[in-house]
Amino acid sequence: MPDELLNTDAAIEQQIVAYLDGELDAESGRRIEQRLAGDRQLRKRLQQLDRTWEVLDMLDTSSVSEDFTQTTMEMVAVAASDEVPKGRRRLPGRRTVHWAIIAGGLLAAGLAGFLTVTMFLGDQNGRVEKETDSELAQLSNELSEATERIGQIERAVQDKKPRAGNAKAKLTTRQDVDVLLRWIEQYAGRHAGEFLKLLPESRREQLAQMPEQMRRMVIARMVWRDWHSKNPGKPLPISDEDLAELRRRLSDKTRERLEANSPKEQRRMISNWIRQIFRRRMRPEPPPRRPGGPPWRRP
Amino acid sequence: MLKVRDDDAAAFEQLVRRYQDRLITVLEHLVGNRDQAEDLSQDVFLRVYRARKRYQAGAKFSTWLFTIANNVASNALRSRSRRREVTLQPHDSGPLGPRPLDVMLAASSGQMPARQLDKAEMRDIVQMAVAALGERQRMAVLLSKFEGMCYAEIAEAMELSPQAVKSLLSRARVNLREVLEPYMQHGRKPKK
Repeated sequence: MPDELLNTDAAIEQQIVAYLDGELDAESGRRIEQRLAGDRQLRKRLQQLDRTWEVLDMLDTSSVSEDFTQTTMEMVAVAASDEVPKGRRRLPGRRTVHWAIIAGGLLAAGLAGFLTVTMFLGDQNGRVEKETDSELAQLSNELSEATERIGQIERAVQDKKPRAGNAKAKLTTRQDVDVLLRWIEQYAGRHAGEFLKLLPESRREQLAQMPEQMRRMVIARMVWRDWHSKNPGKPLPISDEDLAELRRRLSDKTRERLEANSPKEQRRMISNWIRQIFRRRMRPEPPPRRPGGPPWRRP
Repeated sequence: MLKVRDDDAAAFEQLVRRYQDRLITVLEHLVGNRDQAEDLSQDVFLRVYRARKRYQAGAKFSTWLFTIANNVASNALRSRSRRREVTLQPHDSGPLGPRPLDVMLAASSGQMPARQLDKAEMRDIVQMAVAALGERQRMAVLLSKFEGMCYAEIAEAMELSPQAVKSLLSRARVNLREVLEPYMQHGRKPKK
């Protein structure tokens, strides 16, 4: 900034601050030093700006506990686990269910028609009988698969519906969230053996490469999701011992809320809380706020 | 970060451990609330993870991190102001009367300049002075003070030009001087 432009307070302050911050080039620095050398008031302003900047060192710096790190990693683990099966995880809409039911119905009608014709016309010869058996078996398989698929879709949609009862009861303390996460991880650990066998080799390798904490969280999430897809609407099968342990470790307020209910309802409440924890951490990424920005954010 | 981009989970954990305190420090001073700062920090790390594939080699990670932090904090502050949860200014008094800091400042006014400044009291005043800055000035100050970022890096993190950062920091430091200098010199309560 040339000297002639240093004629307003704001312009001079800017140059002084930039000088203090070491942001001036050699020429501008030399010029401001000349001004400072001949201007006592300016030197005073510089000293004041410098002094007030130094007292900012008194501001507190934060440090976080190990719990914070773990919770952060858990959140990221959940995000990571969502990335791989994203395409498969999406629940079908009602229209999909209707089409699936219609397709299943048509298949069933086709099979019924085929059976009727076969029964009334009787077998013409052994060759036809063999072919018929083969086709019947194939159709039967297809019908069975279609029925199973419809069942899966219906269960998935049912699972998507909001639950009645205590679904709105929300957890408020980090302690409760941590206790429930620890428990679901332990629960998943006890049931992970069979579940992991069903995973493809590539997924198992991916899990094996994760840090211990992250792996536990991902498995917990998978086991939880698997339970709910197979048992829609049912609370997690929490043993009496686990229920007592959870009550002991949860916050006083949450414990009081739990103990006002029957054990069955307590299990339902805990299941809903775990559902809330997982779902809250599944919120979709909002769209980018504005286009452009630094190079890494541009498409 | 390059390892994180290539899906190395352990590297991400290292990254979180290395930057979490710094991030929370900046966010806490920015939003004025520790719990919210922790929540926002986790949100920032989550976004870093989700955006890891877009990270370009050569970009400085801390600048990238604080670009995301700046956006997250701006959104949070904007939604907080929409909910009319305003932060009380130093001179505001609530229904319970003047805030403790006001009382403290009033009591301290008129004392001799050479008095020993109580450290905790001074820290409160400094915090108050920083909190009284506008959101963008505050962010620029925090990035400069705590992160030691140069103007170009602050500009990148805040999506501004370096000239705008220069002007922002200059106004911020003048504002800080106006609040802190009278207190440091004469123990006078900051002007309203």
